[in-house]
Amino acid sequence: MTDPDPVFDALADPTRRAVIRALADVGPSTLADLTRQLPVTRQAVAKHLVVLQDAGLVAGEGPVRGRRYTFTPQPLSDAMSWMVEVGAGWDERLARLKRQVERA
Amino acid sequence: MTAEIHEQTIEAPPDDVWGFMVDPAALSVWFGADAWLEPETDGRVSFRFADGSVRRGVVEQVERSRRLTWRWREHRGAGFSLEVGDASRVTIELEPVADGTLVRITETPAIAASRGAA
Repeated sequence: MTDPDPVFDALADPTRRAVIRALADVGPSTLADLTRQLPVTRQAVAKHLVVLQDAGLVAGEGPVRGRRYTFTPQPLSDAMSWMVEVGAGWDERLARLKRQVERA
Repeated sequence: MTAEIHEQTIEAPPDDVWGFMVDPAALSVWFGADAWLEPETDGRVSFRFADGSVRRGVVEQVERSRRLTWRWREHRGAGFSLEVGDASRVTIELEPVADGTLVRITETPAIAASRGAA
């Protein structure tokens, strides 16, 4: 499993989440495509794409001009597994057991 | 892995809490996994978690309303890609206290010394 930190850092920004959402919805897009869909400048989108690529959430393909960016969701699954594991820790289980027994 | 000890006081007698240990449906809910447990020595235990991983093993000790111990290990994937994790031992102890039951869960690495592979 990859380190979840860069993924959570990447997801902490609403514009970056919007970029992921756009790529997931419309498929591979260029910087120009993304800039048209988002309420931020081309420079800002380019900057966010770098962070997303570093986190492994987005892959760029082709020459710099007209490069197409694709959403690569695997690190997201790894981050979700991490959350599931933490949520399944003993303290969480005991807390659920307490609620369950005391409600019975 | 070092020993992990977790405690929680529950406002109910040990007999009531015990029911939640040995009933697979109740166990599944608080465990957060699809659980199966045969509450007898050498009984099977199996937990399937939401991320697809599975932990399987055997029950080692059952003392009604007092103690339940099993050995388990993680099984991830299938066939040639099956990965099996290190075995550990889980002990759940129920201790009557003034306001109910103290539940203590200890998970320790289970080294080769114990009988049979889980």
